[in-house]
Amino acid sequence: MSFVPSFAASQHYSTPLRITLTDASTGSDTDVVERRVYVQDYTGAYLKETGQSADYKVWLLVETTVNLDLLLKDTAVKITVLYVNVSGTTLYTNVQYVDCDANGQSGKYSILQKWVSNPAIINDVNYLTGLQQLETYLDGAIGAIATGQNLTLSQQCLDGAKYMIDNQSIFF
Amino acid sequence: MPSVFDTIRIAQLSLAMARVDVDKSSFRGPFLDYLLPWKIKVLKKSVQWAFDQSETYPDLEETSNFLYAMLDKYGILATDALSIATPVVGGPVISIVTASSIFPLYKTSEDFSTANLYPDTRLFGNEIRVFIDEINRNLFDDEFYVDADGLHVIYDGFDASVNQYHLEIKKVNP
Repeated sequence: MSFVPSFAASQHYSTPLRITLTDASTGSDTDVVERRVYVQDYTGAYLKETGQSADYKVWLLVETTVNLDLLLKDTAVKITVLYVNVSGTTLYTNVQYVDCDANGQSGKYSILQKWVSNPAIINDVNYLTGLQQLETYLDGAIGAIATGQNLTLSQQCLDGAKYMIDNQSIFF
Repeated sequence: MPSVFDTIRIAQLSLAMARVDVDKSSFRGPFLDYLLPWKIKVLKKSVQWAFDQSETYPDLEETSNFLYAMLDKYGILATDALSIATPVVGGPVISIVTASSIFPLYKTSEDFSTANLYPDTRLFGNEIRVFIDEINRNLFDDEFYVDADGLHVIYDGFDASVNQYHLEIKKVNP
């Protein structure tokens, strides 16, 4: 059965600065001896874990998942996984664009709790328009990635959401 | 109260119902909560996100219940359409209203169960006034009555099964 490389990226609210990759490949290729994971932001810069010197992190073949602790904030990233042979030659490549927005989503959830505990707050124009704006930022970040793989635009939206969450006294 | 999982499904269907209902009613004044579809959407998305993260996400059940309350009549219709059983305790509706705070009510022909009956048992015992947009006036006392079944509109020619009406029902001396 031919080898078809694939992976899924996810985040968890308890570790919002971490990306977890889970292997979803099918088939096999005995020539593949190593996986290399590259993570780039909208500028093309490689994001690295503390102490990581190479631009990539090795993802051992025996490991189904790998944790990447390299985010400083919500970030739109391009994740490239190379599948290389013993000579270091790339045999397969898999690229995904990911909107890492765990902080934004959990921040919005927290802001919604004000509404849950005080239903009338939705009649407050500041709260309502602030929530709509935040929602637009987070949706925009997802949309910019899903449609157009636009890391720059997605990052602008994520930064907009971060500013609102960090300055809730202004917006909510 | 439905589970979080079921509430997400109910909200998904309710969102579509509310959207269409608001669109259909866009020319009849400030009778509807025009933001309701958006409110359902923004809450549903966050509950969905939290549920996907963890079924024990902080305040998830409380937030889900709040979402279900927000769905109002659409939640009841969607629950029924999806054949989701709800626990008897508390019932399927959790609107936090008292008997006197249900007014004013804004209803259309779709809310009538027959040509003349709006079947709302909460009305019984209240002195009410009924304004109908289409005739641009309040009904006279001999043109309607309220009993245990709800509101009966009996003015000549009224037929909610054929014609489209928009009613505002107010409590007199609330």
